[in-house]
Amino acid sequence: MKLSCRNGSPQLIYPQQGAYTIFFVAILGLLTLLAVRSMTTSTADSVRLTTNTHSSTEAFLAAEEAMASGMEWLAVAGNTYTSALWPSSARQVGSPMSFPVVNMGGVSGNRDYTMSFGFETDPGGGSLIKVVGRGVNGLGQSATVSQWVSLNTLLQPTALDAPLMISGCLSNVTGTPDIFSQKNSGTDYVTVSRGSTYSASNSNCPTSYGTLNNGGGSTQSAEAINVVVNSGGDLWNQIFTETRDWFEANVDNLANVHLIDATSGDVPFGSNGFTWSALSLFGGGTGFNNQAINNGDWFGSSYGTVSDPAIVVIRGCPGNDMLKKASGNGVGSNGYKFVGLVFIEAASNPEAATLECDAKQWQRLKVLGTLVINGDMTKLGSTPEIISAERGGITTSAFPVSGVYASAGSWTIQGD
Amino acid sequence: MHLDKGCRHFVLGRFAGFSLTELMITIAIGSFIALAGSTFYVTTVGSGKDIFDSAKRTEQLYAPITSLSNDIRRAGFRGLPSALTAYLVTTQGSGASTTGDEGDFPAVEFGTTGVPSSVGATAECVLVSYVRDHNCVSGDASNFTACASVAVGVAVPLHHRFGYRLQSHVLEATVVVHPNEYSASAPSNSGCDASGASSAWVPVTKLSDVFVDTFTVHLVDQDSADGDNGCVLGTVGASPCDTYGSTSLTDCGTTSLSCRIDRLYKITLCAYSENTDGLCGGSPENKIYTEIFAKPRNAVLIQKAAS
Repeated sequence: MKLSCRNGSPQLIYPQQGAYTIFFVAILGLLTLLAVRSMTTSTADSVRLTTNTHSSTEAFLAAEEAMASGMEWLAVAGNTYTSALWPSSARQVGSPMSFPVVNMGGVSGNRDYTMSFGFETDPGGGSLIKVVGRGVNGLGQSATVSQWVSLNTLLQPTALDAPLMISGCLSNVTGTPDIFSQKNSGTDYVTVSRGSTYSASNSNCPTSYGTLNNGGGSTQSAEAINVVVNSGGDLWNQIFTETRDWFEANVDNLANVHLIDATSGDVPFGSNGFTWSALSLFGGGTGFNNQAINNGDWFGSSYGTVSDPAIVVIRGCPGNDMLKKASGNGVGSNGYKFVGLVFIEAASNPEAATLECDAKQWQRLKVLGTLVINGDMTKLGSTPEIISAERGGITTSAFPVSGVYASAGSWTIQGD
Repeated sequence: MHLDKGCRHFVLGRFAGFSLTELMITIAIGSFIALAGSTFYVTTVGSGKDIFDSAKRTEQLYAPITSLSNDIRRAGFRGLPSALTAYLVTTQGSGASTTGDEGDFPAVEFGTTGVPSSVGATAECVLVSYVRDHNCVSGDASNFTACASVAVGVAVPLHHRFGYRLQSHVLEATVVVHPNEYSASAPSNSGCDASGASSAWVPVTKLSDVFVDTFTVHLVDQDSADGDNGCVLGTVGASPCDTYGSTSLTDCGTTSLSCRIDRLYKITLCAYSENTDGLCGGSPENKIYTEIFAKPRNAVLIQKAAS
């Protein structure tokens, strides 16, 4: 400290003037800043790592959910994977997956992940389909997973091989049915697949059936009949991939699949309409079946269409009142027309195939696909018309899917 | 103190500086502030270092465990459906009545003993295999058949091996193209017993940071089912599963697709900062203990021998 005198007054002189204080405060402040920065950096790193881990997990879960949604979508009848190819026409799941953020820094809300799915075909030409699911949040953090799946159609691959399948015997063909299986010339076709066992009521299962194909009209000549003998017994498992219990439990959820109790009355019409195009299937001309319908006739009430064929399971043999219903030419709301598969079995104990189905009056029955009688077919005495699925261009893949099954060894995370 | 000559009549009484009491109080307060400041600094720096060290330890352990869990989830991915079909051929048994093994690239292997055969099996080394893309580089044409027909830089799907093991209390890991993919022998050893210069393993923890006392992978559960109808072996159910009382894999059906095996694993890890073995039963400093269950999303398929 130093005193000086100016204008007669003493003045104190402090050479430091607080410099040391400022210096030490600055040093302390700097050290404090460094310390706080060090701690803040560590904490921020931990928080960032944790947040990234959470986001990664959340995105992964969203991707899994998206892929599961894709599988569910694929299982819905009428949905085709080609309309949702990945990534060009991927579909977005309606609601994003939200993860609640509760009181993080005083803020609560949600982290939302948009989910989308799509499909890829097997480049090797196989039947499996790749389902791709993706979840992404607003910051672009995402995950993508995929799985190859197979579609389990409700029908067995061979379910539509013959236009008429009979578990037991076919007898007394006295009418003029038109049962067509031939697609092209040759012998690679089956008209009737019938059981090998004799039923209790038919002591002698005939091996000669009369005329199963009467030419179907003016432009068609009768084709040769090719009969194969199956192992007999219950045909359910030869036709369907699922059990009866499964069918009964799910029939209401499957589009264009019906279970009808024939003992309760008439077979109700379905709601789909279609244009009978049997004529074009046989190469033109007019009047494929001059007994009933003409090419191009529109049936407003029927079961199934060529693009959306039906499965109709009838418990109990439809009698005279059910399948001869129509009057006139069967066009319009009259007559029973089926495009797809008609499976007729006993009303009770169908596994035992005890059905004896009298088809004598099935005058107006028209089937484009396959008619299955899970028992004996007796007295085929009228004019039913059955055209094979092969002839109509109907395949089992056009029928509802009963399940989407993941292929083992095919799940992975996309992107590397 | 120095006074100018003309001012000496001013007595220094009013400007005599700090008294002893003032000085002591000032020093006391200053010391207190300095002490508080230094304590704050030391505490803050120490806390920051503790957090950093803790995060470092946690991440050193969490990263490989998470990675292993993810790898187990992906284990057994075979690529395109055609590749899966080709792979299944390698799982065929050698005789008409012999159930096959798990093929050339088993999804999960324990130690040097291969695929865990029964529930309860435990290992300190696990090898996981699945397909991922490999970018062919110069020289790969002679290494991998898939690279022989494509240009350098093109990605081809190859089975990769991902390994995790505990070696002298240090976690080690390896990522290589699976040795069975090589036309000749692999350039490095990725087996669980690998050591020395040819070893493909690298440490992923530092002993100076964390002492890994326990690292095990445990087969918790496995279900074997007939690959054709899904009937679980050892579980007698309704038809057609009414004849599946045995758990022998030879009962896995008679058609080409024989068995589907689902497994569940548990990864256990215990580590701490004290450099002493066997303290996991107690409460050593900075103990980290974790159990993670991991399940492959891909079931193992075994194809029965062609008859």
